[in-house]
Amino acid sequence: MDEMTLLNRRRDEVPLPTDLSAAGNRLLAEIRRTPDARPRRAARPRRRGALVSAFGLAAALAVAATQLGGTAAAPPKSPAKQPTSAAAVLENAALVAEKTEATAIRPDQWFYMKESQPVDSFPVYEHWSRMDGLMQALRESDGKLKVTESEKGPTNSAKTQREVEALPDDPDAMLRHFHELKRNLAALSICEPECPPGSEQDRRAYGAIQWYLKYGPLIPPDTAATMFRAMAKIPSVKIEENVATAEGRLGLAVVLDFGEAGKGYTILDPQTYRYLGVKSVRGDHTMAMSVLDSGIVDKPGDTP
Amino acid sequence: MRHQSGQASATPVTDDATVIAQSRHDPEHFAVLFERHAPVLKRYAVLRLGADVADDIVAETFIAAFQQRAAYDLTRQDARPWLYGIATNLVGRHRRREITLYKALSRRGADPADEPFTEQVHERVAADRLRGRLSGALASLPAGHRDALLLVTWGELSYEHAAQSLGVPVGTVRSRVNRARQKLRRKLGDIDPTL
Repeated sequence: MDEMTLLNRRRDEVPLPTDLSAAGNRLLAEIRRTPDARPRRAARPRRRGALVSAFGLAAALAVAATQLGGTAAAPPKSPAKQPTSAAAVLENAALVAEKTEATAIRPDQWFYMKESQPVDSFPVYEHWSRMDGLMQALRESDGKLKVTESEKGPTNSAKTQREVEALPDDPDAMLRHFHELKRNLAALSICEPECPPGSEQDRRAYGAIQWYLKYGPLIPPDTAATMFRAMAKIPSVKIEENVATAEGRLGLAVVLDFGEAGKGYTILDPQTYRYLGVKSVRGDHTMAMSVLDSGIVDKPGDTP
Repeated sequence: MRHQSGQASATPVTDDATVIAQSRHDPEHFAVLFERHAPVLKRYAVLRLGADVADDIVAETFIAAFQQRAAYDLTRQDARPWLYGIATNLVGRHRRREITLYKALSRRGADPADEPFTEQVHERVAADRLRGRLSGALASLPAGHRDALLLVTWGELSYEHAAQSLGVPVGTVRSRVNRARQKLRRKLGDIDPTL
């Protein structure tokens, strides 16, 4: 009799437990934690930065970068032409971010996000998270708005904002910070479980930046700029143009390229560098998820 | 969570990813995932830590999963690697208890039965002794090797899924399982080479 047979026999000796009420009730209590009757008022609005669209500026800077990038062959009247070196493109993105005016976000405002999901029955996920981290709201499948106490998990806006504020403002320091994260924040797996040896830190840093860029409207412009510059320092990061999101919008993709093992895409608007979505491609298998809309609004149910 | 069974049976063929996606709209729908996977997770926790803390492990696993559901990778249709990964992390916080359990089982397994001798009794005593040896051998494994081995046996995960649970490459799982098996085989063989 071999050790696997023994282990399997040992498993089969323990009948599948049927009394799950204790654990089930604890889960239900967590699910049903009712919202505070009266969310606490924020004492004072704090100044927040936000990455807002900057079409004209982006276009102007694209021209500058095209010239700096040495693609002089491009006709002078085609500002849409992007330089394709990752360093040049991401520096351009950083400059656009830096020139963006920071906007104040009040704690009583809400971060809105509308996401696509790769699930036929629920193709769209629309949710709001109050900036003080106390309340959240979501659009239920019947179209009604459901407001509840906020989750403590990774989608709590206050948590995201605290994490973002604590990030180093130097690209190298930011990368080191992300290398030490306990888990990979990437929305989609890229090459797991067959990733190239030694790629873990790069995947972790790329995944973290990808995660935070999704929360663009919450990210102060200077921090967004540092993120783009940090991304440019990750080996295996490349740029691809005209990459389609899940719904076919074309964007500029920052690609973590592991060749056969898999490619991860962070797709940005080619003008504003606003996050459009993510994509993961491995062989002929593609997965994609997108942010269809996001922004800061005054109350749940509002859209930007 | 009996009240949820109507909802669960109304959506009999949806995969876990769909359930998680729906639970983002309708948090109570997360209970479907509990109904689906709590029994096997509890058995896994009973086997690794004993019955008295298994409920805690199951509750904490599902609460953590519920809180992280917005970050779940919806391209993974089967949520078991995710749930077993959380549970295995939680088991890791009780390492001393796990070792103590295996050592207790290894002593108990060696007890000769106090009954008249028959062929049946002989077989059972032999089986008990083997079971005791197995527990003792599990206690001696490095934690990472034990996690990999027990995810594929007690958790009934494929190597690929075990790799997802542990966040390591599948080759690492394969080599950890192989090394754990070699060590178990050595320890079991020491006591009775005819088995």
